[in-house]
Amino acid sequence: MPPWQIGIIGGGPGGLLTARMLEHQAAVPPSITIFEASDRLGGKVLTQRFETLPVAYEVGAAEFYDYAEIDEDPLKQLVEDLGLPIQVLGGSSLIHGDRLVGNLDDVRETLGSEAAAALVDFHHLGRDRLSPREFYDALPVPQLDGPVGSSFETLLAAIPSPATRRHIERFIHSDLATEPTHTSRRYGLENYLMNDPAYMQLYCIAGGNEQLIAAIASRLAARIRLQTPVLSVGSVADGRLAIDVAAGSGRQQHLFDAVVLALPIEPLRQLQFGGERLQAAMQQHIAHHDHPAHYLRVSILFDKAFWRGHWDDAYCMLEGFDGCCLYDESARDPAEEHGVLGWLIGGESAIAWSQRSDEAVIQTALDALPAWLREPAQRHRLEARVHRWIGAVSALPGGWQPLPLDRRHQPEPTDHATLFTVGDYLFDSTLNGVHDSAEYVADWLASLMLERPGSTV
Amino acid sequence: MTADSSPDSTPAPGIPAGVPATSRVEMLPTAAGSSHALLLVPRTGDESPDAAEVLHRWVAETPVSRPRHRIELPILLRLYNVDLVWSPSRSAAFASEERCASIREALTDFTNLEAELTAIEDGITAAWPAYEADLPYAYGFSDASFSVRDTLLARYGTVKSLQGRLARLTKQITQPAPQPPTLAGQIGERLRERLRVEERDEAADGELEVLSDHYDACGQRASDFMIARRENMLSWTIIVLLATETLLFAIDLLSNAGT
Repeated sequence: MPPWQIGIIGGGPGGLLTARMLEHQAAVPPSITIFEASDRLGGKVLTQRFETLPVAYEVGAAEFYDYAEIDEDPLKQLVEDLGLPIQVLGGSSLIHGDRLVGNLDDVRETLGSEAAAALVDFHHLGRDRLSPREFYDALPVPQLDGPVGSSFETLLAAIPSPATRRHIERFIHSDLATEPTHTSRRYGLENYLMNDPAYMQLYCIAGGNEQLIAAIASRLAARIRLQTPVLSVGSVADGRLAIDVAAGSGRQQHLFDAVVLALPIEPLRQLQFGGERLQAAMQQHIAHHDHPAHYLRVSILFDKAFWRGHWDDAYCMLEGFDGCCLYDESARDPAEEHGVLGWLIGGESAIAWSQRSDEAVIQTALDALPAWLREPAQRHRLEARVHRWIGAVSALPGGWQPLPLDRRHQPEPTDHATLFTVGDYLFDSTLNGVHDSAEYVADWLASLMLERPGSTV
Repeated sequence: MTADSSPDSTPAPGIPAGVPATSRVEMLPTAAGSSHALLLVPRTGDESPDAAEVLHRWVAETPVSRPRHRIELPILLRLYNVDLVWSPSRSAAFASEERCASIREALTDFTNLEAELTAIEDGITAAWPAYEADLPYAYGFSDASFSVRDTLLARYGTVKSLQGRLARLTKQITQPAPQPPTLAGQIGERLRERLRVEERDEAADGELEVLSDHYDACGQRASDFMIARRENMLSWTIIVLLATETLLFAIDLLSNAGT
């Protein structure tokens, strides 16, 4: 019996993970074709090297979330199974002015006793409202999953100390990638609580996160077609699905038993969908999930990691850009002799600064450093890069109700029951979220293949 | 830990040259038989560049090593706005005056914790030769072994006591650091990491389990032997009583027959 023909649109982590899981789970491995519009795999997982020196830095997804303290963590398990070296990332500080504020004693000294007490109260409130288990399982929490308009701002507004409020806003701004008014209480609180090791820890792959993409791709039997933009998706008379791809000046059609759309919202919007019903369903799907959040990344190579000894964490937060994360990119690889700092700018600041020239952004990033880093940074600087990720992730607005899991992954179940969607935007805009999404669709497809073995293509 | 400790009467060592005059040495409350001096150097902002080196030298003056774990001492920590040098008998900190209480608290807790762990490890090391010698008693017990019964009991008691002490210590070691993070919590966490305390705790737990299983088995054999011995004696007593009864009965029969 011929194996199922499955087309996956998008060669990012969602597409690759779906392909890997299908090849592992299906009783009869399907024949998979992955269509990727660009000349590389990996999507938002992107590790690049500087031109001056071949030193690696993360352009896209900065880290993975480790939930192993609470329960199973399939993504970490996959990273370990693939034999990739894990590097734990630690940090708890925010730089206020020129001062490194790394603990409650520092907060008390810098912002005052009232601010420290308010921070402790907010932390306890957060832990009371969302336990590590509720966080892990994404269980509904009535006090947090409020009605439309119940943004994270409403939680922050209740903090009696303005200094504490500003501290928390700055601390989580780049993780949120949006403003507190544009995101839910739950998502805001999750992004605050993730700094507590009881909820999760952060890690990366030593030497570059993109190794995960290479490791998965090298183990796939799927056909991978790079630089093959998909123009349209629709069904043909007998229920099979057709993918039209650009071929020279024309187009070429491929037929499949099932198609997985593993694309972020923006490229999904660019696709054409055949038939009114599918068009309407996809419009509805996109409208429901289209809450863009934004990133801007500045990466600067230095001839040495001059900050070591003064600041030894893998990351800290800066007040600049309304709160941005500063990574010691060179801490990701213990063998690296040179220094790399990476600024992760999120939200409205990312949009505003994405319009400016690279040099202006780089200079502002350097100016955001405390004085004890600013001067040596100018002296040791070798090369700088700016990468813009506008609308790359989802903001999860307040009052937004996630669709049931089936509906999230199958936008039009009546006439297009084998057309699925996979993406981080269907969960929490993280790599762990895209893993969950891929797993859900792969399980579903594997059971369909068991029910109806053999391709109709 | 501090509850079990008492203020130390050992005289405090002198303040080294090259640190500000506002510096002071305090003796931390430690378990009886040990002492720990803490040099607190308030940060003034105009310290000489080699001030950290002075602290390091002062702490290293009283060498204490942990060769079993290949841990290089003293430990040098650089935390947020605090420089710290630690060894089991001395430590020194560069920090603002406001931080001194947190530092003292963290170092007292950690120094006592590490000293207790080391004492337990020493106890375990001392128990291994006896374990080797006592191996046969875990298999069988005889009249010849009777004389070592009290010794085995004492060793069993020692191992169980070490296990109890470690269990209480493990509770402290595995306790999560407070959140939001505090300076004392961070110092404790970093020192536990650098001194490989969790790893050592697990290793000690494993060793004590082996020793405890062994002396449990010895106890079982000794107990079986004592029960068997008592039963044996009881059986012979019954036999002797029955024989006496039979003899008396026979004498009685013969005397009646004669009359």
